Amino acid sequence: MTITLLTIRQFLRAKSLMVVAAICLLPVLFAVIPHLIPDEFNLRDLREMLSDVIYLNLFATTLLPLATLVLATAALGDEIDDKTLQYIALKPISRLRIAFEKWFAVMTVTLPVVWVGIVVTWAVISWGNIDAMRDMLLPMLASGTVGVIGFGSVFMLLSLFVQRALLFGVFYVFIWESTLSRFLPGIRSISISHYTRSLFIRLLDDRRVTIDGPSATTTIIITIVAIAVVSLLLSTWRLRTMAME
Amino acid sequence: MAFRTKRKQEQLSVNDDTQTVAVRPGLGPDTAASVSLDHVSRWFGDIVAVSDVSFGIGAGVTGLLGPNGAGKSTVLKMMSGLLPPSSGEVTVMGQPARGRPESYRELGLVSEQEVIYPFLTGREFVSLNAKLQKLPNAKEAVERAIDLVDMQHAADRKVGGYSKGMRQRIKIAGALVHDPGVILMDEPLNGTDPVQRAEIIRLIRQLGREGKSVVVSSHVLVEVERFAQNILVIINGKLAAAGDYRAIRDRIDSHDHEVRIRASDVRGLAALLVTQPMVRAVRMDRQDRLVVETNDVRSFYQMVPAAAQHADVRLYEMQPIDESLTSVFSYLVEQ
Repeated sequence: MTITLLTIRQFLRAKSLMVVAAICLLPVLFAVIPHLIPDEFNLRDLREMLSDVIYLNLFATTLLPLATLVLATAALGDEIDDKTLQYIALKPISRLRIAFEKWFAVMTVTLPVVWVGIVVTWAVISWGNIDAMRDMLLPMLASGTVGVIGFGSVFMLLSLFVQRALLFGVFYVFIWESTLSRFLPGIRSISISHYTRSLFIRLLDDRRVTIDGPSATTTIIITIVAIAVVSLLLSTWRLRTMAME
Repeated sequence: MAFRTKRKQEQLSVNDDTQTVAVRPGLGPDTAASVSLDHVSRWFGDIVAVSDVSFGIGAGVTGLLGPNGAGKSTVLKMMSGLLPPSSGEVTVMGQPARGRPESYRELGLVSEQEVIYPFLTGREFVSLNAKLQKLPNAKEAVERAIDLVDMQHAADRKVGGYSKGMRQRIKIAGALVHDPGVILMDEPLNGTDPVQRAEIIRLIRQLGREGKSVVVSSHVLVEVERFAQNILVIINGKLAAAGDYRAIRDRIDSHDHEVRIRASDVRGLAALLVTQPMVRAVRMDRQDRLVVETNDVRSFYQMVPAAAQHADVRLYEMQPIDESLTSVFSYLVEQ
């Protein structure tokens, strides 16, 4: 896993990792609010605040894709920009291995940061009601993981086709994932955040927490695996055919 | 448009619009090609970077000569498989240069690219190359490669703190760590001081003597003479001349050159240089560097270090000026 380790070292020294951490910890600001005005929030309000406001409408649709975008586009995109990719490309290793190891590095660094963001947010908002809020943690972690896999795969592929992938990705997140996919039913099934939100709903299994037309768990898993596999194969093809100037 | 020398006519190949190439340019009649370009062109949008170039590279050192922007780097990138040709075919060891990662066991590229992972030490960078080459005795190979470029003293320092010359040398170590048979070097002497330059030239010659196919691009005419017997001259993306260096050296020398010199005491050095017979004019540019016009560039390059030493002046850089080079190359093609 030489390329994975190299990429992880690149991530760990980059400012972009701080940006990812800041994005993932942003929901903590919202999680503090109920503790500032405790009389306004009963347990049901707390659950609604965490599930609907923070997770479904902020984290899963906007913050999670943005956090993943930063590192996924940097993994190959930065090396194409500064031309260091040729140190890896001019070696007797398959393009599939390069794509996979880069993808694996994105997952290895992004997932823990996302998990920490989720756990801290959950811990802050649940403070004093841990037992009553415990059932929400695992669905958030699992669906967050699915989101990182889906977004990470697509954004890494994007960086092989688009020169300013980060900027392009930001527009995509705000216009497609955060806005259109939530309000236009036809677009829902081709939005990764829909599957992230659906998995949360399915795993939480709380009839008071729902979204429009959630997908079945099997559909979610098959779709996300398919997105990851197709993205990796297309990344491999792109690495084989692209000119490295 | 053709380059001709009666004395060495049999050793030269000429590429122009009207003349058929008799011997494959870059190769002798009995030499097998390690790298071969067959009617290769490469364009970027409307810009033609390389136009219908054919030549072969055999064992030994071949100099790829031409002014900046002539297409040398594009040719090297196509040889290494980084760039696909727009038309024509590039082969390495008889196989297509692109789409075969396993061919990189036999090929090493020292690119002009300056950025190296700045957070790695020199040793880690060479080790990275060894690991990606899946070398069985990676540790030994890494030490051998670092020794080759004389970088043991700085091998444990971060590459981000290296000088340009040190980066060049550690890149060379990375490209040689797997002992490839075909070595492509894009301007490897750029940014090196005279001592480092001499070391790299010695290494290039040693690799050539070991029977490896080494292609070294340069825009410095006189330097190429020090390591390459065969040269390929690329001008405006076309192969202008190919053959033994000696056959064209006289033509190159007889044309006026401009050389830019950076030194610790440029005025003192200028006073010495104006007295030399091969120096036609000396002036200073806005950055306090000497610009010297000479009509015998080889003698000039030999004379300057000795003169500097005599005057106790430290030489930092001695570079031919691109505009001057272009004029020399144009002159060469017109002959």
